[in-house]
Amino acid sequence: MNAYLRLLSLLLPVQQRYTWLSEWNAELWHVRSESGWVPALHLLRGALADARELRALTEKESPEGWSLTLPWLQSWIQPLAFPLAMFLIMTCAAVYVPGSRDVLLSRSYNAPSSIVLLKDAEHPTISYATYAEWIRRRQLLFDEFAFYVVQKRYVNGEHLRVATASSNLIRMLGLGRSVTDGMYLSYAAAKRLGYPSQVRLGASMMRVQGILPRTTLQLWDDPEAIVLADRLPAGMHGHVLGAVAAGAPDINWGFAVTQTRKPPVHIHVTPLEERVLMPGRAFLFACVILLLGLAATRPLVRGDGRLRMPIRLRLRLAIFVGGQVFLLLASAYLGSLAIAMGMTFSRPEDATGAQAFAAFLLLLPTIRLTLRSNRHRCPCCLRKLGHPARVGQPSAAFLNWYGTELLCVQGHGMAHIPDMPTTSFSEPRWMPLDASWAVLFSQ
Amino acid sequence: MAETGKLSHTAALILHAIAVGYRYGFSIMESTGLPSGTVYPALRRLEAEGLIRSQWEAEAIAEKEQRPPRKYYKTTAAARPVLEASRSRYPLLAALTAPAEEKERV
Repeated sequence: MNAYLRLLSLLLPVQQRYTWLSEWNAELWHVRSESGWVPALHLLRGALADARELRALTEKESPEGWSLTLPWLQSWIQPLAFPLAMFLIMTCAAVYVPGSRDVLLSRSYNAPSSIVLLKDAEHPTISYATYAEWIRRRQLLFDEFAFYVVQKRYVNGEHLRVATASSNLIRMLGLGRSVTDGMYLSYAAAKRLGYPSQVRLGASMMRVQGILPRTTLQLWDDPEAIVLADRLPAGMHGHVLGAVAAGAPDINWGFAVTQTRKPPVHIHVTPLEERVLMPGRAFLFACVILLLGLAATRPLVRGDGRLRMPIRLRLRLAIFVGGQVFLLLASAYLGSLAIAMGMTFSRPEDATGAQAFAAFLLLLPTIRLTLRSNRHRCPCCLRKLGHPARVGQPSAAFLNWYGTELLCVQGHGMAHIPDMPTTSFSEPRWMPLDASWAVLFSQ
Repeated sequence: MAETGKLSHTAALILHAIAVGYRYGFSIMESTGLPSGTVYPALRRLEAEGLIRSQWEAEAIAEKEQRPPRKYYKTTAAARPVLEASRSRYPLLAALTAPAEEKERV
């Protein structure tokens, strides 16, 4: 009860906290000792309403006095508190959602842009014999091919989708040197098996050569483990990856393969990049759209006055705004990742789109609010501007301006904020005050 | 100060309860049947309008009885015409709040 009252007392100005707490503690003590706990709890229900009423009365009586009781509200700490709180909340969300936690903890993967997944337009798979014929023939479009076939097999007693692949698959995917003697596990499978160094596949033991970035890489049939082999049985049907040769014609949609004494085979092409969740790229895309959107709707920098500031102050302001924006960007990245991975998508490219959209939605209001808030902040001392004064009349908009004038309490300058944006005066203007004004702010 | 006779029924009831001798928040709650979320904010408003004034109990008395000092409320002279007007506006005020026992009186 006392802790609750103490918490509520934070709503009040410092000067009134002690009196308010004393009154409520005394009332509670008497009610508890005379009538018991239940009436005391009933009494406590009104504490919030009372604190709010007292706060409202205090604000009404002396708005300036009230603001002076919380100096941190006007200092530079308060604007950093919101981005910092947002960053902490989003970090918790990203760590709580399993998919986003996996992405954050596993190593990042950038798919080579030249790698494409090839699929027969009429059949779900391509036979190993066709693949063998392709690698024998001289190629114009591709530098090399890789083949894999996915089967359900028991690995350490767990039923996993195991891909048996040509020995160059891992190298083509840009995941390091291909080692045929061993197995590569996906991140989820390795976690499921307890990160083993050796696994049993059928009757043979195999060494685990590496863990694949499962959360970011999805091949056809979504293999959970990959075993490389120098040779595969000719009767197998699987999937083929190709490395597009430099300078090859555009094959984004597909191509046809002519065969002797057989009808041509139509092949669909899917770039590997489309099957890979790359959170960094999706976020970058959202940032670019945001930058274009913000720049198109509002000027991103404040106009006159800034240039006359010393370099030290300009640097401090840049660090201050940069810190805010950095925290908001980091929050939006983590938040968008948590949202995208929290939604279940069968294809990673859908998660990419969702992440970009979520990042944009998180960034747009927060960055706009931050920029707007900084326009009402003194660029010298970073304090919130105050003492609003009305200037002019609406009829003055034709030849002059009308609006509000905000003053820095330290006397660094004043901001002119037009009520009605005009072509000559649409954004707040900062007017620095020189040393001759110092006498007015000596107190 | 509130305009004479323009108090709300709740505020008039609380003012009447103080006038008849209920001196602290919880006793006003019990006598009027109003919840704490109504009584305490109303006390603040009435005090701000100058119709009641609060006074802390003397420390010596509280210390002697081994309890925290309590804050007591009392109507001011300015409350008299307002109360009269309220009573004529809300004739059942007196019936809703019985006078406090002697120990609660100042």
